Amino acid sequence: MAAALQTAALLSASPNLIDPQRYRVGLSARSLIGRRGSIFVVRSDGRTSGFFNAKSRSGNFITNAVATKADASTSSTASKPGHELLLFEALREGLEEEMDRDPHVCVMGEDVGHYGGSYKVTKGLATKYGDLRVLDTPIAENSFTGMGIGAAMTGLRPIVEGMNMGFLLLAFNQISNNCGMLHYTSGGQFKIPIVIRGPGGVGRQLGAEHSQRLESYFQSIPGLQMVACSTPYNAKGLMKAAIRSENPVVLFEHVLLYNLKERIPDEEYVLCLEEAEMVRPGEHVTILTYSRMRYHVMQAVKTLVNKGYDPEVIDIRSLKPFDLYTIGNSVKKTHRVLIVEECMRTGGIGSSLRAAIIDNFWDYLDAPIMCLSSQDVPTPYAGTLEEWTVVQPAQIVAAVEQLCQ
Amino acid sequence: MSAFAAVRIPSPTLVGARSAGEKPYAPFVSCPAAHGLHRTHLRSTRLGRPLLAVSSDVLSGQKSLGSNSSPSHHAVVSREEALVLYEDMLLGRVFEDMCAQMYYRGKMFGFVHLYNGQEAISTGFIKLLETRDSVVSTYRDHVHALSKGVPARAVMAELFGKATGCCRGQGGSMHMFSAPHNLLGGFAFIGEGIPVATGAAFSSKYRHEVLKESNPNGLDVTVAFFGDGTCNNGQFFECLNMAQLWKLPIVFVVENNLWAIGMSHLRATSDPEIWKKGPAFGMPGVHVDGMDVLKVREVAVEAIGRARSGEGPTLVECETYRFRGHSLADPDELRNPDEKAHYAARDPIITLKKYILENSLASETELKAIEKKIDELIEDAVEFADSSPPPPRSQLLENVFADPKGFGIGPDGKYRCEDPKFTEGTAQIGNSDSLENDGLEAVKPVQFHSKPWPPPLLLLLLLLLQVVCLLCEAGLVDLDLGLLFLILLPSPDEERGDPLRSRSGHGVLVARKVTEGEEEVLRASRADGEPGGFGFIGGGRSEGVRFCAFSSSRIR
Repeated sequence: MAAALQTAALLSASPNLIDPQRYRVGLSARSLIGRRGSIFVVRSDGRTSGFFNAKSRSGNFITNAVATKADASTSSTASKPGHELLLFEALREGLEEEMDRDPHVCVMGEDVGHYGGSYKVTKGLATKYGDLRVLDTPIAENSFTGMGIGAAMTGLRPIVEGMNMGFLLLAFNQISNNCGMLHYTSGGQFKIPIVIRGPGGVGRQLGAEHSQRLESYFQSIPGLQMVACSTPYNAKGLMKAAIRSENPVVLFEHVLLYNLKERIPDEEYVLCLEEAEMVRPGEHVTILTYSRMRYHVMQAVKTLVNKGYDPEVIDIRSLKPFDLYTIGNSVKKTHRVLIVEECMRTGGIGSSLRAAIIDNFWDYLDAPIMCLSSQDVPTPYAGTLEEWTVVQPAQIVAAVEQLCQ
Repeated sequence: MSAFAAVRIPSPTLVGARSAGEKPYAPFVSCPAAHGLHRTHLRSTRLGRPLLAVSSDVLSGQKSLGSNSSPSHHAVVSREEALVLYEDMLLGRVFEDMCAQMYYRGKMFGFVHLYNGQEAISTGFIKLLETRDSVVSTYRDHVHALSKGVPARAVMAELFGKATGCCRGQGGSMHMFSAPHNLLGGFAFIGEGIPVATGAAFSSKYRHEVLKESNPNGLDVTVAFFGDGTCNNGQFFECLNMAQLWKLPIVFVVENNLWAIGMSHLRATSDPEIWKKGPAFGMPGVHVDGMDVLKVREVAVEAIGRARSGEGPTLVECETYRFRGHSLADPDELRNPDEKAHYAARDPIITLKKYILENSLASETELKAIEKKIDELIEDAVEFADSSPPPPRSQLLENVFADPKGFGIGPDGKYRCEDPKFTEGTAQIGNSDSLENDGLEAVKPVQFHSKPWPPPLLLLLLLLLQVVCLLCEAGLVDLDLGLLFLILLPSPDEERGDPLRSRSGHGVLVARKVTEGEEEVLRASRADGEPGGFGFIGGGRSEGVRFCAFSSSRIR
């Protein structure tokens, strides 16, 4: 399964995505220690926003912003730029860089310290930073999330890990009432620069309660931002962006994606929290997806390309708010939209996205928006049933064919 | 005594700890030595004995109505301190009474929970804190805010919902916050504030140990206030555990007023002695008479001192009573009048006044002067709140995100917050970006693919076509246009009753040549004898679009 996903990941980054027009300003990691605010945020269309430091314009220009296939490199040099790692290591790298950069950044959660995290995202950090900066909490989600919020209000920048996203249901009180609302009800006096992260999604026969997708529950909370990572590259970038953001951010990871391998740049980079990612440009249909479904989509794309379709695949990444610019441009080009998500059908991210597209881009649509979501069913344990709960590549192919009639 | 049998707790092991030589009950007595931080010397008179269970009149079964216990058990207060305490409690009381008045006059709405009767706890604890210390409260937070130093004007304006309130009118009675005074709220759900207080205490410890920022006077202390009902909530226990585990500089103050709206504490709690729950987690638990500010202060000195020196948390249960109902909407019918009378006789303000006068710390005139001063202060606060402006429309979206980039990127590629008119809209950011009116229409006006023509231009064009056709008819111009002009107009807004004007006022002109088949139709549909010219063929509505078809061709 992991191998299949890895292959899918590699294939998704086909060479034609390297656009020499796109560039990124990068600064070497060494020069960044002690230098705050000298990072550019690069938008996916190559524009930079000099929010941090306009003076540091001279940097190294890298020509590829998207990971390339490891085995089909066009250059024949032995040493390729960047280093290869797995997604959970990318998360850890991002976390570590931010903890080095700002001593106010701390981690709290169950088993994050000595155990190194249930998915090893925080491995080794407790030894390096101490037990207070990487805090092993007792099993009290609501309270330690609230504790994180209180710490954020008083100057720290905590990262709260839910061992499984589903456990954060216990913290819903704090996330909804305090995390989302406190900045507002205090009239802007207190900010909550907290990051709440954890693995979610349907795994490998983990059972109903460990296979939940909380993005649909949290999306109505005002004041909260939600992002979902899907590759090592965007995992690290989003982790860093989330930590640096002054807003509370919920970072959704997926249990099955932690072992994805990718080559990521050596230089420091931060991604934009509000932007979507163009995975594969196309002409016929826009496929909007996020997290694990990206790989199912890319697998379906292989079949579709063979059948002569040219789908455009966008990983929306930002679940709240939606990047209507990237999505809109795509809809204006292809006029057909398919949303593929792992959320439940009812009240999921897909429903909101559909509504947003209809409200903003109605005239550009030539066909009704199709949305493929998981069944409204508690995820069954049995492997066969579980397979039928989530969207499979064959369904995606059928949907595109139907849409493009 | 107890007219209300409910409160008598027949626990033989509970002994009044009045006499100095008696061994205290509380098992967790001694505190480990301070970790390198010297003890604070907040007060010159410190008790030599360790913290223990101080029994109240009620618990020990003794009846003492309105009388203070012997002065030797009160830490001696100086005149200045006594007057500060008196003024603060009076401020709380008069403010709350004014709140009630204003509520019934329709100046404030919603849920308002008044603190009458519990002033000794707020004053007793908060007047010992420095500005850098934090206070976390519940929905009964007006007096905590006042004691912490938030101006009465700001609190009253917040209650009136004005823009000059401490939270810009966005919080209200149950969400009092003040960053300069380190008042961390104000929480509507009970128990919600306790983890936040624990987090603030964690921050304090973190700053000291990780960031190496130390204050010579000790750690920043956090005091969390909450009620008896909260003590059955999970967050309470979870935080007691964590606070003691990490020895956080926090004091948990239970304002046990025996009632959670209409639920008596004894009907809701298996073991009603809340202070006992402290030792269960390894921290000292203290019970104190919360109607006596001097007793509260005595315990507070100890508890805050422990926290400041890094010895960890303390659980203080203050037995108190609220003279009014749970909120201004509560008819307060369940409580026994005898119980109310018992506690009314132990009014903390009257008690302190008596103490001051008995010990000649101040004269009657001076106290009267303080009362007058407070009255004027409150009047001024009401006037200020009354004359303050309500929040403007543009304030609605301002504080949703600390970083307004969180509103996202709009369809035009720019961040929504970059649009200066953005905060004048509503928060329906997923739907429409441009709102011409009050946001009632969340849907953008219908737009067409091709470039829209404004109605005046259309009419002009029609006129021109008419002229051309007339000229053709007159024979001046020989032109076989053979064109079918199809003019599409957006569907008229029926509700507005204006058939010609659409919401967007846009129309589109599409021109194309008449096909063979259509020519037949046109010929057939023409009235006999008409040589040609401009003719209206038909119109209709399809898919919400009204179209009029004009034929301008010289059909021969």
